[in-house]
Amino acid sequence: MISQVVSEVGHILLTVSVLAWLGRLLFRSNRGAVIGFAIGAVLSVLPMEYSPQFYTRSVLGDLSVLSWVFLVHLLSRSVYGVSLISQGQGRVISLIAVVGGLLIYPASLGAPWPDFYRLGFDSAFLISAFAVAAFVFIFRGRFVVALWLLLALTGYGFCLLESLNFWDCLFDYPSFVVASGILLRWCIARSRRNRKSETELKTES
Amino acid sequence: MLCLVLWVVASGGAAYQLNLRRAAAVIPDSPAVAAAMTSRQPLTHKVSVPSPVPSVHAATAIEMGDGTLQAFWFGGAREGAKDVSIWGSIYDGKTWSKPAIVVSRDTIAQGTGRYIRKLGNPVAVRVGEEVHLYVVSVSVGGWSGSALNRVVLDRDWNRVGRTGRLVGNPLLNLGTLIRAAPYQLEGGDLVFPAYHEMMEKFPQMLRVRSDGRVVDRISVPVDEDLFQPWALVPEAGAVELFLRRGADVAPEVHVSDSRDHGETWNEAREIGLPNPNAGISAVGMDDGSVLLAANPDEGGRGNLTLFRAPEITGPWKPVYKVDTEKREDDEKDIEQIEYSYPWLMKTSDGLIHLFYTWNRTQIRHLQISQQNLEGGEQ
Repeated sequence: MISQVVSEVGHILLTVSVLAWLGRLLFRSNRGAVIGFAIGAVLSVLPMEYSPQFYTRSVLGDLSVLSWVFLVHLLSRSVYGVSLISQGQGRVISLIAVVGGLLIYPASLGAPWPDFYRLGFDSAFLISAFAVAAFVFIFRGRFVVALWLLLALTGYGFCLLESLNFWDCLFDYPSFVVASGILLRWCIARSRRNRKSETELKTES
Repeated sequence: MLCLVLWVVASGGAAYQLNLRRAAAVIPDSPAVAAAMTSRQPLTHKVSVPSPVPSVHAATAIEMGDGTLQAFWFGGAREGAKDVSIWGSIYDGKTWSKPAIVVSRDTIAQGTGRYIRKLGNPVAVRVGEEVHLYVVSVSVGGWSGSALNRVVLDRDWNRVGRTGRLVGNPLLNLGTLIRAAPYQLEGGDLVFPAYHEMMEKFPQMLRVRSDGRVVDRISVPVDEDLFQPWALVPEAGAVELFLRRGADVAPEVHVSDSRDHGETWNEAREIGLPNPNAGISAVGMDDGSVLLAANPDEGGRGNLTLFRAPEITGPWKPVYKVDTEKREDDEKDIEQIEYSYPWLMKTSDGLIHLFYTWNRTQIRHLQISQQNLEGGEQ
């Protein structure tokens, strides 16, 4: 079944990306990243019960399109030193994912909160809103954000994931955590910058 | 539509042969039971389904097209052990066949491509002459880390379709369990009374498509610690839900009901039946009344009784004591008596069947005619 293939390929991508990133971190070179990638590739073709994806799939479930986007970005940066997502687009993506997560996760844990996750099953409004947003991002030149949304809509439309819920195609819990980290880091950096410029202004005056 | 086509193609290619011998055998647990079994159409008939493993729990059962019953439960060294598998046995109207492993940890691990640490509650659904087994599994942690899987079998328990994972929760798809029979909607979708156990316990209705994928999820708004729902559908669009209450608060069976296919729910309310945080089960009777199996004694599961009421809100009257704390010969060495996790169903011949866990060592089956449940404690 195609959703199983998509899921397994996603977790192979997870293995090679993370190992490539660790390789770069350890050896501080592209060669280290390539070695990490190669180890990940070898591990991925081991018999099912010895492969990392047998375990990562059981813990993380199917990866969403946002996880794929983050992992491709991580792989590209580790192996080629090329960032596919600009900081600005990364912040927009993270903001959408974090707001989405705050909408759907509380009710899923039993909090007295409207169950927005349910909207993802069959809501023409939600799908239309994200389709319109994708085109707005294209016209504003934020192509990675638009690509993310369009791929999520495609995944949902063709049932490429085990879940038939649009939210699960858009982002998952691991990518929500990463997005929260990106936003948090940006907020801290910005407040530090503001504080620094205030201090400089005071010193000047 | 595309998914459905792909699924049909994939399931055809993935047929998996699992040969199970269905040797007819029965182990009478007492002379009285053995005597009852010799009768062709007994009014009441209680029998233990023989178990080759030390610990069994959580029986589920279905009636096949030819009138035979198939029961499934989980069994192994103990609950949560790695050797726990889903066992099955077939009842031909007289005897239960020798139980066989129907689904193991490996079956689901290989089918879903995921590591499985332990198996839990099964729920069986008959679809034509196929048996669809929905099985709770855990990969990491305790039962709050549960996920749901579907295994498709033919009537002889050969795997005939794709084993799939149901996605009921966006948070790593953890914490969703089932224990009760689903009901079918007009279009063929099944609605499972499910429940969530991660952080908070609460009931959810999972709507599952014919290919085993979740297409809707409705959380039933309840107070704290009401879970393990059992659903009845008295008429089209109406759903009545019995709920088990957790141990920390006044343990009493609660009900909630919906008149719009489960879209909105009335506030859950007590029905005057004490229940010590134990599983419950219910079935609609021919005259419109409701039969409920519950453990009414506070502080234990040593008494399993059938109650009957004209409607879900009561008044509830005990109509049959299934098993009580009065120890029988084979229970003298057991430290804590437990008759739990009832599964009630009505077969096409109008008979009521109750399956329950007997001291965690046997699955017992009680067959009883509706006339025997007219009233008055027996």
